[in-house]
Amino acid sequence: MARSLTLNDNEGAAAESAGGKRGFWRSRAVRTLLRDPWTVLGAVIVLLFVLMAIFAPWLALYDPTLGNILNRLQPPSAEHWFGTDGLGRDLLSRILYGARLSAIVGFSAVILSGAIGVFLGAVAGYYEGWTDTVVGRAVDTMLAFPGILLAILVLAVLGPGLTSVVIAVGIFGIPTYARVVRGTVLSVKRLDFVEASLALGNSHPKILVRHVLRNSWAPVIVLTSLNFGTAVLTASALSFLGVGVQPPSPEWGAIIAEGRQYIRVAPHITTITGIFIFATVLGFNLLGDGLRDALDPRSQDR
Amino acid sequence: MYVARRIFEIIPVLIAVTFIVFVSVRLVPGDPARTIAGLEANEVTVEAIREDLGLDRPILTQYFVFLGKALTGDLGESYYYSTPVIEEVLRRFPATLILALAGLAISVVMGMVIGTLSAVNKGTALDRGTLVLAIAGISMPSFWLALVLIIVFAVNLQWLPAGGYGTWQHLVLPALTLGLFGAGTIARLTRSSVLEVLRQDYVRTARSKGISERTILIKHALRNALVPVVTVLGLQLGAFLSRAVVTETVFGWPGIARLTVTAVLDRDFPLIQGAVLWLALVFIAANLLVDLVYSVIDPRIRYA
Repeated sequence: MARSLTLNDNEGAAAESAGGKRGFWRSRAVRTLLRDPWTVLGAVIVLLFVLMAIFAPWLALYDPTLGNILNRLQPPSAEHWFGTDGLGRDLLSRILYGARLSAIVGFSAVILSGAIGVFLGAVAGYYEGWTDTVVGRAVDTMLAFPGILLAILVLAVLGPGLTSVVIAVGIFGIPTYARVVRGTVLSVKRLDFVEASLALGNSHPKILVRHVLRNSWAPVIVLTSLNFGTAVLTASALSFLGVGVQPPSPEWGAIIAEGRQYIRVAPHITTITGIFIFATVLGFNLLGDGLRDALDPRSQDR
Repeated sequence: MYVARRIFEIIPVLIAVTFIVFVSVRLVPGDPARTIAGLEANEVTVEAIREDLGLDRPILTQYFVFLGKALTGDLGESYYYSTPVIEEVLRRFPATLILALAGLAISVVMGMVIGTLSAVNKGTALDRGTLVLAIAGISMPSFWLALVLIIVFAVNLQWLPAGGYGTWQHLVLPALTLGLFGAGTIARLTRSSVLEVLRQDYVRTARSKGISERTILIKHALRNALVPVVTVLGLQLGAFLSRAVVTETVFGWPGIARLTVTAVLDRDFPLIQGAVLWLALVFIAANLLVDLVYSVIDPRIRYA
């Protein structure tokens, strides 16, 4: 995922026009976004996912944790669109509530890693010198570590559960933010207006926040979309491995872990739930990819 | 000279990784001494075992003892298996290596073939399909892909075993699970670098000399496409290992990734430390290998 996410003057202008209310739909960035059908598909999937997460209690016809054991392992039918699981619980209702859990994990993890990563990257890129060396080494160390082992280790320390998963998955995303923001800050701070601001007597922290970071947001947004997908994927993998969110919680990975034992008699549990994880992550990745093309005029190789 | 400098640079990272792992495994709730002693043991026995394992000493002392021994190849003894950790690690590593190489081969071959085809057929449905396939590949949960492959090829068609280790049949599904993930990304990279090369003057020269399109593709385009592919392989090693953890778990593959996960769950301190140290070393060695492969593929790259 180390494609170039740099920024130039044009883009600053595009960002400005995209930020303003007037002409938002006509700005170059938005037009590029809407022109690509795959980006639109990604945006639609993300929207549906968010709606599922918000309206799960109204959309679900059954209780996601209560089942009728006499009605277990039923294939999809008119009554249970996605069938039932090993305890006779309605799979559709579980998946709807699972979207809620995935959204909570994704959202919180992205905020956690974004806040820490952007801070570290900005400080490292702006001040350079020893701060840069320390942050750079820390990022190298984290990347030298297979992410999932790090997450499992964190979960072993904190114990399983939703909050622990958020922390484990959030830590996972810090180095990518730090690296990308460092790169853009390095290039933005060499622009003339930064020097002008310094000449006007503004302090470094003020310039960093007011000017440099403000003009570095495009890659952060792209990365947030991509990292949201990764967070959903990692969280479900951790639950599948049995160290994340625990059953009977309808977390998608946990549903698949439970469904795995019925793979011969009721493969629909595993298959259908997995399609939801796949589609959600795909949506965020397509959207992130489209955003990158729209926000970075130089990556137009499509 | 270059290799020596790289190895030197890597030492602080290695120390940091092992130290973090060392400290965090000791933060894990649960007392290994009590686990080993069993439920009925009295406090004196537990204390004796703790002393025996060195767990009563300050954490920094424990760490330096570990480092000192690690330098001589002694990674301690597994609490769970009661065998030297180094033996356990070396016993499990070949399975992971085989799986990784097979997965890598699938990724590279599939990715480069599809990427080249899509570059040659730029703008067609095949080309657009490749771009989407690349994103689909990284969006797919590997545990789900593994289970779907099992449902199709092991349960329904009954062509291949659903898990286990030993023959080539056991390798096919895990290697596919691991390999399909990278294939899309590599296809996409291959596509853009082949397109880049085909625009170059020397390709036009080659064409005007009457050299066949196939030779141009293989001799110029693919050779140049290898550089970014190798870079990405190096960068994605971490993600690759993460996928290996899940893949080995689903298929019951007796590799080192699964060993590490069970070691964490078993609170097997020496085994966790040893396995992570080993994985970090492999990771670093692979990255070094990637750098060296560069200069072989592209003689223009030389390290001062």
